[in-house]
Amino acid sequence: MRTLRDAEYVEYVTARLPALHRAAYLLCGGDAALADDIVQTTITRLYQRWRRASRADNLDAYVHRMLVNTFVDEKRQDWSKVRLLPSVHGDVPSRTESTIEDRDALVAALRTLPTRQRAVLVLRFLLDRPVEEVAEILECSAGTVKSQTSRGLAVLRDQLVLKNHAG
Amino acid sequence: MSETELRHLMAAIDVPPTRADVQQAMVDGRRRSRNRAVVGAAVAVLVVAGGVVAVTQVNRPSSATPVPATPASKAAGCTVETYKVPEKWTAGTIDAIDDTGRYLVGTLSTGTVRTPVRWQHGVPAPLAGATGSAGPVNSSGVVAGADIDENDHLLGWVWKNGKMTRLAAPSGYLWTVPQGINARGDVVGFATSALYVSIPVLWPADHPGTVVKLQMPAGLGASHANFSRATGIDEHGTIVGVILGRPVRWSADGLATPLPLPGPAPTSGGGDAGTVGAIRGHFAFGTFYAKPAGSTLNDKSLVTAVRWDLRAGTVTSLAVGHFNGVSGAATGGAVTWNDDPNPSARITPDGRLIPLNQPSGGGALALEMSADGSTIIGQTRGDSSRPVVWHC
Repeated sequence: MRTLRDAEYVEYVTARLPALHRAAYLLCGGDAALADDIVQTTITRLYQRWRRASRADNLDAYVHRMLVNTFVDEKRQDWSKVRLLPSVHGDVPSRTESTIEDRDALVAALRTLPTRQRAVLVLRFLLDRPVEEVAEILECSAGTVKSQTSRGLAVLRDQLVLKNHAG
Repeated sequence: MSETELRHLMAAIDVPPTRADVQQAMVDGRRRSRNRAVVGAAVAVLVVAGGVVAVTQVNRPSSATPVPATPASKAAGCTVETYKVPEKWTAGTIDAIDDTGRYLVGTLSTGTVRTPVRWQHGVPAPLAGATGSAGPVNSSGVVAGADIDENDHLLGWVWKNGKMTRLAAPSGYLWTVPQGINARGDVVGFATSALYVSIPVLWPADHPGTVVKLQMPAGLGASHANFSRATGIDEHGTIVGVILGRPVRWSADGLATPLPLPGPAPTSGGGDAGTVGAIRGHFAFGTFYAKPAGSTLNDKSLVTAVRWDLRAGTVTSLAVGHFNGVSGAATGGAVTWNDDPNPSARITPDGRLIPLNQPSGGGALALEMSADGSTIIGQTRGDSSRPVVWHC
């Protein structure tokens, strides 16, 4: 531990890690390895910016934003790499996601949503960020956030009902 | 479900333990801050095949450990060049190359705006009248592509002789995504419904504005985790694609049969067996999501690059690794890419894996090749991607 600042960083991250990991896990549709990567990238970047970040009004919000941006960038990279060619498509569940065991019906249902919609639901309902902030993080309008929310909830509802009926 | 219920569900699900390492984050964070101060932008001039001079720029410093610059040379039989992107654009890609290697098409983007272009001699020219991202192109320069709306939904189109025509969605489906095109201009891909069910479709060149749903097994449930799609089509009307995670072919009269696999399909999770891409000559290429039968390798995440001979009805394992994508040529050779620091390789027709030399700055993915394997297109990774072309 080199400085007092380091000690503050460690204390903050250690306390927040479970929540960040849960958010990343849901965002990644149950891909634990990818979730670990995303969290690790986020906390590393946070360390690099810690002096500035630790003075932010709402540090939790700042870190949630970093986490989601890391996730979205990861997906956007997949997308921008091979947009319309057969081998990879960013909009639909990727190969790694489809080999993940269905630990939970909710995780499986979330996995069927496009990444942006997943991000909206996780930001709003797990991380409790207000609509305006979600819109800013995802670079879309508040209206889009609301419509993505209701559409996402509807799809999840159908998915979980289907799952129950299928048995 | 109500918002409250979703909140509870999200908080309550069982998550596996985290493997995040706070101490490592500090070590890495300190190291990267140091490197950022040292690595600067540099300009190098490359003389490439044909005497065309291309000016390249080392990518903006990234947070990864810098790769030592490799001189542009004919190492491993290929030269490599990185194209510049005009100033107002933050990223540029080459997304597709046709069989002859004459048409290189791709996309310029600023993050929010995208425009499809044709690259000629390293310079992009917009496809007049088209918007969005470029996809497959045929040897007449017909391009299939798509706009991406604010909800990340794709609205496909085909562009021919300066005119863009929307790809029709079947009734009950909203979004269209082109994946493959043949010399006649027939386009194949998939259509997606509001509940994110995806089905394989064909857009015939002869009947613009129409769409044909390809045969799917009867009794198909609303399964979202495996999305079905058509990915390649040849001159005879043979189509390849994936149905419920299984690579298949459709004959010209529409009958779907599974493609042979080089081993038992993986059984865990969603059960995807693999994927298949464009048809080149009488071959199709793709990935099998497991090791070939008889392999003694231990790593469970290994996948196999495979080549199907559509005439003989056989499958050949080309290489085993951590491939994210495999794409091939009519010669039987292929290119692959993955997420490693030096991520791309050629596979010769007889199955030898040769790493592709990287441009200075590294991180270039090889995505597709011309039919004779002499031109390979790809791009550098990251937010500011740049097109990369290998001549072999």
